[in-house]
Amino acid sequence: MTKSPLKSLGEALLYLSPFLLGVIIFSLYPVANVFLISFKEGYRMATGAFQQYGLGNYTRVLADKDFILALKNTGLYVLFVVPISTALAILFAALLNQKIRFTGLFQTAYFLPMVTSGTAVGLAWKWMYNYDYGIFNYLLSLIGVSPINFLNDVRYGLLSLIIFGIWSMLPFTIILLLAGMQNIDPLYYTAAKVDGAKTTKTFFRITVPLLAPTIGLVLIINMINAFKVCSELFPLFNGKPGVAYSLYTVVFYIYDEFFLNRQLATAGAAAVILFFIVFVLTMVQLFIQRKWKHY
Amino acid sequence: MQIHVENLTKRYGKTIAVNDFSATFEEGKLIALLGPSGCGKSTMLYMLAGIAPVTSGKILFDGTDVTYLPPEKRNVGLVFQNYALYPHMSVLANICFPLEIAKVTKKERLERAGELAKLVHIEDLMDRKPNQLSGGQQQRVAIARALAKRPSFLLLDEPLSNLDARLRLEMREEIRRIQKDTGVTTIFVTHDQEEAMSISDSVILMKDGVLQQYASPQELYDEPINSFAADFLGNPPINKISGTIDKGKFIPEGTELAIDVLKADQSEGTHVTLALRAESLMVNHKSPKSFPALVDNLFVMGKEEIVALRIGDTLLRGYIDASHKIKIGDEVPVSLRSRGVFLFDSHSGVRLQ
Ligand SMILES: Nc1ncnc2c1ncn2[C@@H]1O[C@H](COP(=O)(O)OP(=O)(O)O)[C@@H](O)[C@H]1O
Ligand SMILES: [Mg+2]
Repeated sequence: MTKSPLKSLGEALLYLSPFLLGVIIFSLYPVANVFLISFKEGYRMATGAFQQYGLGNYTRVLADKDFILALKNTGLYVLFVVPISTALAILFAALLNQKIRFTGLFQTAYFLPMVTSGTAVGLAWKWMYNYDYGIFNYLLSLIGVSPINFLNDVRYGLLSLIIFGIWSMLPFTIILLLAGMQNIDPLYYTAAKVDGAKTTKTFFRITVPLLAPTIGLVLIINMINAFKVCSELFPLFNGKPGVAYSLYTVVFYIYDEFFLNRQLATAGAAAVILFFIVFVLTMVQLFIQRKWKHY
Repeated sequence: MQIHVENLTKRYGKTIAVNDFSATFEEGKLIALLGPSGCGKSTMLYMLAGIAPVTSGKILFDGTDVTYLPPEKRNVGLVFQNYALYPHMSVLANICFPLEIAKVTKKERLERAGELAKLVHIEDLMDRKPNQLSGGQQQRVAIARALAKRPSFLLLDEPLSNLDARLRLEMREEIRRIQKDTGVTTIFVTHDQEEAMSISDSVILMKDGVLQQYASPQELYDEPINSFAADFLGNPPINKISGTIDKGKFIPEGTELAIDVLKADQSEGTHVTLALRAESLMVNHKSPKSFPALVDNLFVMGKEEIVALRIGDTLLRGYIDASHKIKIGDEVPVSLRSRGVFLFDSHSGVRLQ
């Protein structure tokens, strides 16, 4: 018995309705609302009154030097964190994919950050970055480098954030890449062995190219996540955007604009700008990847 | 190069994939490794290629022990059952890959790839990716890649099993031609007896990891060493009648017949199997030693006519002249030629005659 397409669509929607309702109320409506409010000039949160629709909020945000700083910081963060952490993740995933002893132990070690509270991890890192007692300064002292004030020196704030960012992005990336690697037919490795290829050659000529679709996916996910950098700042810098407010990121700026300054409309404009940047970059990446795609 | 293996054994846990295998593969020959699925043919190839570590025994290439040498030091070309072409590389890159690993200069690589493309007839496909090729084309590319390094010998694992019937015929001629053109010692695995018989210089028949018989195709067909070999070769399959020996005659089970086929004395009362090739039956042919059989069915297969005969509970197939005048239900005399008539011990399968 076949049902009419319309009827089965109706049925499907019925089954999906609890989920759809949740998505509409908690995702779609707020997003649409933010988009709308970002164009309302002179918007008042309490009453919802506004003067007219226009681009006023956008010009205000783009003229704000804090926002420009936030864009710059976020841009640098994405630029360093995404490629470095993805490259490291490929390496670790390849090591984890070997049939070595204690694999379970290694896997636990790598995935631990994922199941640990972000704040707890952040505090641990804050301790590691500590000027007097931190492990980093201890290690630096071993090679004769004088201690660095990682968290309280404006020059090193972004670096500290980036290192922490690279580290926190690893586990999820490794899981995805490992899944991708385990999907590669072991026959290709046997063939490469017969062809005489050694480990490194096999890695670069077989594993990486065959993993390209997964790498592409991981790059996009990581880029989107990196653009949203914000919560990483809280434990490291006591809830402030770095020392002397030097480490504003776009999301932190939106957060402050909304919760501190109560400027819903400019916060919305900043959010839309961020959305637009991420959207364009994602499209560019998808386009490049389509060109890469070889099979 | 000549390959010699001695008491080669491979175990996977409790399974013995290859059991005490000894043989010599002569230089420049095309040798078929024949046997039913799971009898250890692939394992045998993988041990020769160095991919599967040997459990015990020895492998010698031209007298040099290579048992523990890694694959890249053995200089073998291996074509996998499903080709295993690198999906992300073009045909050209696939063929060049082993040369690139061997640090051959780009110019020489391209030259060699050109030669090989010509040999296996894929000149027009060099820029394609494997998924843009048909099964037969992938097969050719896989052979070209395996030959790129001028291997001392070429191993082909069921090279034709993934192709459709027509292409299979074409490719088996091609493999024969390529082997002749290059003169490379080639071992090719198959479970298809016709394939093995039609193109190889010699055939190694395997069962449960054990070498059964190593002979030329003709000898294997004419002089099977045991009932397994007789069963495995030939189409239509060989006819078999179980029975016993009584007073120097063969008595088919459940009949009063006494067939006079014994060439020498056999011990009385043994349970034996008489195996008769279809072409060894002379149907409707009276002779001093002929015996009666009932015509059960008649059918045309291609250009030949085949008759199914009943003796007791056993059905035999034989060929019959197109001008015959027999009908289903007739009783006809059957005589036997001297070729293609074998007697096996029913229990052990050992050939008695
Ligand atoms: N990697 C392996 N692990 C365990 N058993 C295996 C492995 N490879 C082959 N075998 C076993 O060894 C026997 C021979 O296998 P194989 O050489 O692949 O047979 P064939 O190629 O003749 O079909 C089979 O029983 C198979 O199950
Ligand atoms: Mg096999």
